[in-house]
Amino acid sequence: MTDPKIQQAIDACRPRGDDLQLPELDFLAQAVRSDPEVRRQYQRSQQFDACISGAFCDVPIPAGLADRLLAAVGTSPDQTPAIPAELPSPPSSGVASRQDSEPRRRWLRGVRPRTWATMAGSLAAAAALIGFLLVGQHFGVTEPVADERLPGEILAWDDAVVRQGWNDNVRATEPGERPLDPAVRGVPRRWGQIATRYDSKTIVYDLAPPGADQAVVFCMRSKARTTSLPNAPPWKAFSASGGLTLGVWRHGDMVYVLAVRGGPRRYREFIEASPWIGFRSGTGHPFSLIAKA
Amino acid sequence: MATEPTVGGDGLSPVRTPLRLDMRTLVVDHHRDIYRYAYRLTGRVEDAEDLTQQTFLIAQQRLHQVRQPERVLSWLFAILRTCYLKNERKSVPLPATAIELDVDSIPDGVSEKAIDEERLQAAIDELPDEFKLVLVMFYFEECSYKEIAERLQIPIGTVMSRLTRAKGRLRARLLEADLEADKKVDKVSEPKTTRQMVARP
Repeated sequence: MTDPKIQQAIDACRPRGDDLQLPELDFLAQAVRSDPEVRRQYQRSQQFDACISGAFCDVPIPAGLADRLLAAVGTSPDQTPAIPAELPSPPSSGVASRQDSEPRRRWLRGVRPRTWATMAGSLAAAAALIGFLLVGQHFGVTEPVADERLPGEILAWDDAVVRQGWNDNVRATEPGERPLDPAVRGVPRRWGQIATRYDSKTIVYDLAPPGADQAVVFCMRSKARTTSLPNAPPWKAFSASGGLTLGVWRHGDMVYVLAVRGGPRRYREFIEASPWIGFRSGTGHPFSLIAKA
Repeated sequence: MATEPTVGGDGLSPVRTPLRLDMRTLVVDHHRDIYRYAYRLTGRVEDAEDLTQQTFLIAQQRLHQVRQPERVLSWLFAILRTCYLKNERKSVPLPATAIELDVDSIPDGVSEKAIDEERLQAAIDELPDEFKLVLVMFYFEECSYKEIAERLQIPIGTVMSRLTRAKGRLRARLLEADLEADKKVDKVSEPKTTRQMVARP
């Protein structure tokens, strides 16, 4: 029976790699040199792994895959040069007719055909927020702002949550330090903790029932002395591409980002339905600038 | 002040620099690798194609964030992994009774031709996601255990443990037919034949 530490180290060595030269695997290198049995196992493992590695890459590619992908991303297969990718353009009519003649592919998660329409909507919303943004920049933004950059940040936060994993233990202490704003409706069914550039211990609550589209709230403790955020969940939310609707507000020293897939109507299901929505008593209009001492 | 969030945990921080990548090149150059990676994770042609498409659509949205075009494939893999986890997340633990074979059990002279594709994929499919990802990153991306730990943001010890267990399961599935054959041969008291996995002349 091989020493488990040696076995783990052998298994950690990549096929055809130089991992034995790593300082932390020096003990394995020495064992390989001095012990014929370990050397034999190492060599067999390397050979076996090389075979597996080769087999891993041996996957036939479906016919026409590249064409279907190029159509999906709105780039015609025979188009040269390629469209600039900084601002994805809506598919041209030529691309659309080409797609029609192709065998129908099911669209992912049912949201792809809506992407361009929502993108146009989000651009309009972004334009409406420009004035808001300029004021935010004037104050030196150290808190999230509902603008065209936020969806990208939220995607990164989503990724971080997926990597870290959700926590079902609602009695844990971490969420208590960054509680959900009472203005948010719904009972979180799980939570996660991630580092964002605004708060290294941001708590994210999952409000969506199992199987439903995304509805999460990111709760951050803000150190910003000034804020340009409303002091309650904004009724008029920011619509981003992919059906993502966002609302950002501040309550005390907490900043909340509500991200909901499914459009403004669904977004509003997660905030207080009071006619006074957007107004927290004694703190003024949500879109007014509130200087915090 | 903290830095901007990184993309896919691969150090590709979002910056607003002039773009040197375009979607067409990205798709044409990398769709095969992305599809193969997706197939190994999902085990199904349709799911793999959907995952491939999803990866490129997200990449299109975030292409402006790429700072190091030379590492774009690694970035695409990171997007793919995240999409996969979001779509598929299985919380099935690795069965405690699952057979794992250690490095002792590997026979001499294994050849690539002897690897049974169906059994390989079946073995991968049986693994929980966290083991599957580590395995695919190791064999497909040829990541070191340190790189896997960095990219998945998990401790190195966890990576090594998952790698050993996942490889043990793989060995068990790929070698089980040979072990069974050996048992049968032993029962009829015949000399051991060359294992199926062993390279034939």
